[in-house]
Amino acid sequence: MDSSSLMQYILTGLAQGGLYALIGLGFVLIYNVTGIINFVQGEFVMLGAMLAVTYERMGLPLPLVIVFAVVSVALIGAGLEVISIRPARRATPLTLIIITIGLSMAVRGIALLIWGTDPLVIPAFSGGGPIKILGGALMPQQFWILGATAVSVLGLYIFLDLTVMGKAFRACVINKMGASLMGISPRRMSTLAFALGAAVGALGGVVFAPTLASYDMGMALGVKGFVAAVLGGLTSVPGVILSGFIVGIGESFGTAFISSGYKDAISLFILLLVLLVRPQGLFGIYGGKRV
Amino acid sequence: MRPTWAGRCSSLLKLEDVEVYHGQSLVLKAISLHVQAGEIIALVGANGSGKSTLMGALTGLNPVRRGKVVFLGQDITNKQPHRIVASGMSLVPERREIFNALTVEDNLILGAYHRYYRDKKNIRQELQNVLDMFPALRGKEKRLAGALSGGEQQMLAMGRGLMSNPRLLLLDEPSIGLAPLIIQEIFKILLNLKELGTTIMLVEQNAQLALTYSDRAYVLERGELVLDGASSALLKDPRIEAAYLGKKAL
Amino acid sequence: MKKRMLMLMSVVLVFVLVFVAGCGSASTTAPTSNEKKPFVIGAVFDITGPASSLGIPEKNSAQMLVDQINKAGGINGHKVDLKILDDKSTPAEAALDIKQLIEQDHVLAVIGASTSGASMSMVPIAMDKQIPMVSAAASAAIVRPASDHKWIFKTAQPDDLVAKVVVTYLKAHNITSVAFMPVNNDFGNSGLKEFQAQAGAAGINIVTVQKFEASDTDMTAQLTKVKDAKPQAVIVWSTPPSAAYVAKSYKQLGLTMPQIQSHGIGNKSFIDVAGDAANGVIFPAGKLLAVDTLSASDPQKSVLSKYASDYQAAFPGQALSTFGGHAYDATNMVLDALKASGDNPTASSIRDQLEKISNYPGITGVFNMSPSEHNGLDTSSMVWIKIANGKWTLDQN
Repeated sequence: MDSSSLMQYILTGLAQGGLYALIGLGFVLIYNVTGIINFVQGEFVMLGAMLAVTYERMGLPLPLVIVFAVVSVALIGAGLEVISIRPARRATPLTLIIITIGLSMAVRGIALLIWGTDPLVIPAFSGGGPIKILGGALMPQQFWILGATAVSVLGLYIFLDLTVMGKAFRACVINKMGASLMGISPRRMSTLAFALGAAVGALGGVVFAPTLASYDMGMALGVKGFVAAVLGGLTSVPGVILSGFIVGIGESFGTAFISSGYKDAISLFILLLVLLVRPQGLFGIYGGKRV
Repeated sequence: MRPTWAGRCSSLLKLEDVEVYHGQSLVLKAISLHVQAGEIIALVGANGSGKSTLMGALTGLNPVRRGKVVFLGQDITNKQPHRIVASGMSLVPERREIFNALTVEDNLILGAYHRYYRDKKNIRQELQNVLDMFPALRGKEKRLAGALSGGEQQMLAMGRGLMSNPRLLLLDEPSIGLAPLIIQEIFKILLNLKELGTTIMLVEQNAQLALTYSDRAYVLERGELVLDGASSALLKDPRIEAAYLGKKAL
Repeated sequence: MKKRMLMLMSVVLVFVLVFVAGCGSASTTAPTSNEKKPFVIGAVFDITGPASSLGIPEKNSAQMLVDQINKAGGINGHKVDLKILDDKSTPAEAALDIKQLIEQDHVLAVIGASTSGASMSMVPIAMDKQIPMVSAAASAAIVRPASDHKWIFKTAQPDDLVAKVVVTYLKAHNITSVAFMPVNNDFGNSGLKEFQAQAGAAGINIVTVQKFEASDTDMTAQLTKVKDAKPQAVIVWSTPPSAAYVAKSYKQLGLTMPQIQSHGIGNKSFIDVAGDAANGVIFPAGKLLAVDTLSASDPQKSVLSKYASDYQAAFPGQALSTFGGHAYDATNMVLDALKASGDNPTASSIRDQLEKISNYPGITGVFNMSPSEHNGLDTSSMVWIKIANGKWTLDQN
């Protein structure tokens, strides 16, 4: 194996990992405010991709396609929280998680009825051939994926660190009781968490839509995002981003040197191993919550 | 004196036969009390007598099974905590519940969250007023709240409570775990606040302290109000002396 | 109580939706009550799941044909009742489906399934119940040897035939070293086996075998290994969408050697997903894809033209696919066997008629069945197609 091949595995892993990081970010946002592992997360990605296809076919220009798809899915996420999680919020976390599993099946079923079973795609955001980096090659669309990851992290930083609503969101994560005593409604923050989680997931779906938009894509991507989130400790934004890249690169090398058939097993195996050695994840801290 | 309609209206807070359960067990039994505007009211009682539970019931944290909580003439029984804050009652909780990973300034601003987007301009000014009141916090606005000393954290929790502009400030055990000098400082600030027109209801295990600084007091025992009256009178009450001030009854 | 109700309601709603989604795509034709008893035949297709781009045109084609027959009065006055089930692209579901068709619907014959894996799981059941089955899938193992597969027929070109076509092409172009990339399922693995069996004898060296999963969306890792092995050409044995992602990654890595794909990409979905990365790909396929450029003397010309115009009239906006053609042929054969069986067709009379098919121009090719051959196609049924500007064109080389 020469160095350009090595570079290719790393680049492929990074591009794929960027997507996993975005999906994992959604898990982290929702988990920290609500304590729920949200199994609808993968379906948010699917909805983002599907709506991107729909808006693109309506003839909207690309920037509007992106914005509309992300906003639509954010509203769907908030709506799902209001109709299904909020009425059951006194239930145990396990019950709530089961509700999200049910929701994910429902969303997939509805998507099947609306969009059918054929895999769909939209044109790549920007044309042109592959871009060479140190002997490896990436398609321009893969830079869009990495860009979307960067934009999401930056956007979240601005929201969480520089706006009062974002600080209220963090206050809710740090101390729910203290927050409600300060006039911050944990219910509204839970809805906001679902909207934000849905939005970052949808952005992942939109940038992935030139590769694939299919009603059944959500589950597999959701699992990868989940692994990234747990690996990252479930509470830290830098942790989940880094873990996303680790999963992506692990997968790429696993495909090259073991078999692509085992790559799902590989990421789950890494997760199990890490959980045995460091139950708080690679980047988590015991008990401490930070976003 | 028979309570008149006008008399009832002048009370800021009124509890009527309030009962609170933890699961199946009755924790607060038929509590009735009232707080007049401008007073400092103390709620005295031993550990586990239900003082903190009562604070939780007032602020919407603990569900009230029976009875009524009336604040500023409005029934606020079992409203959500953030709505009660917005109506003008703010609790500084026993364990302070400050946001450790946020800065001092952010903690204070979040105290005014319920009106932040309507009242941005004034909030900057009020922040300065609160810092004037708690000079210990000045110069530490950008520090993380978790890095403050215990006394400073208590002041931050109080300042944060004040940022909501409360008509009634509830304080749960403000002296707990603090050095005597700091306790003195904090209670002086309470007297200051009273001067400025804030009504205060405080819960204290340290009865001596509470009765010294308050106008009136209620004594809570195993979930029931057993005594009430002017604090100066209660200080001399032999039953209080025996039970709470550590003096043997003669 | 209200909250509990709401929660229960949402759970119920979820199950209803999942149920509707699961059942929505399977369709049946209601039997007509008048006159003679309808003839019941069954079909199993991959209508949902990864192979749905095969299964949907198959379902459409079979249904279209049966509708045409019924509109024209049925067979000897009997309506035909076609029961279609969805195996969700899984072999296990396919086995359950064929059991249900035979045991509950008492079908005279079964068409399907779409993929080799699903078909293989149906074979033992059809053999055991002695019900004729006509598969639309590729693997030669479905019908070979014919002596052990008395009740099984198939219409798609078997992969050993396609492998022969590919080997012939490689020899004609003096290509002696290739990389082979099969999808990791029955279709890909069977293609690999057939190709390996024939390549050695033809002096063609397989320098690397790189497998991928049907659900993969990025093949750069496998293609990097291919690149390091420096073959003269790459042979991809898969179906869309995974076959399309190979083409995409091929373009990403800037590989320039010929990319030969299999007959598995004979539907529009490959070009849709691969986009401009599809251009330059060549693959062997049935003549349907080149129907417009076919000479009038071709024995299949009239059948192909009729199918193409009927299908596009019945399903406007849906592109033709060779898979629909496989199911069309299978359904047509079963219907013709029914016609030839008289008023009381039985499973065994249909089987005997199927085996007698000869010189039978279909969409896939000209069929010649016999007791020792249950597919009956030869290499003349295939042409080479090259994708240029997002369109199929006949490759004359």
